[in-house]
Amino acid sequence: MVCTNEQLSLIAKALSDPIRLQIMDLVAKGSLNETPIQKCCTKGMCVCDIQEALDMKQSKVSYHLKELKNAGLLYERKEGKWHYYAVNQDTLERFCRELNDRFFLNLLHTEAKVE
Amino acid sequence: MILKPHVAINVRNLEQSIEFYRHLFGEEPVKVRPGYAKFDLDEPALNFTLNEGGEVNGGINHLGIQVGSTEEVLAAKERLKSAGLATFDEMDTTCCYARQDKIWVTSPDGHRWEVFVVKADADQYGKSSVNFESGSACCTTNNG
Repeated sequence: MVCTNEQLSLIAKALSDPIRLQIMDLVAKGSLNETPIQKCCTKGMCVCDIQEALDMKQSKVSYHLKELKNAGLLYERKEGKWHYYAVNQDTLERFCRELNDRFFLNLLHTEAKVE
Repeated sequence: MILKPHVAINVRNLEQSIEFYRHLFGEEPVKVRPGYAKFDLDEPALNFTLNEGGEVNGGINHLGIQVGSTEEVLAAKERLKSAGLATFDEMDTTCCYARQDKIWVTSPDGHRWEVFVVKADADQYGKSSVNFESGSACCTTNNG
């Protein structure tokens, strides 16, 4: 199995907050080198960029970043006193593949059998 | 100069309490030191500190955060639920002469917190329907 039930739940819970989805959007965009929206970072986004983009105080942004990081959805890199974040593609891929294998492929298989 | 109420509470286990309060407030503490943590909230304006050790039972009936809308009550409920913390609903309840939507959650030290919104004043005093072990609900005529 690619993802256990516990892992699936943890990721789904982390994604279940609209603020965290906004943060994922921002980090995903910020991770692309082509059109960087970040100001103070070279690679990935730092708390201050997200804080500014969402007009939220640092302690709130940090709370949501920690929840996403705990679910394995974000990488965190420390450089001096700054923490930079990037989307962990691997977790997302495993999450999607697991749902696909369990519910989509299985369903197709069952339907085929019934016919 | 910003005026903020300051509340300092004793907790048995700092780590567990930080985990509880970061989910309750939806914020990280701004300062964590051995035996001490500080949350500095803007909404509501509150300087809230945790001090490890000492007596955790005082004359507190319960604590709460009044928010502006039912949506905010439900958002807090979702946040607490997804953190694995049990909550009790009391939607559209009459309590303390007001019609309210609220949820309850209990801290690791047994302090009861409510997140509520006041929808309208009520003629009746009302009484919370949640039964707590201590038997003292949110609003009793004796100590409310």
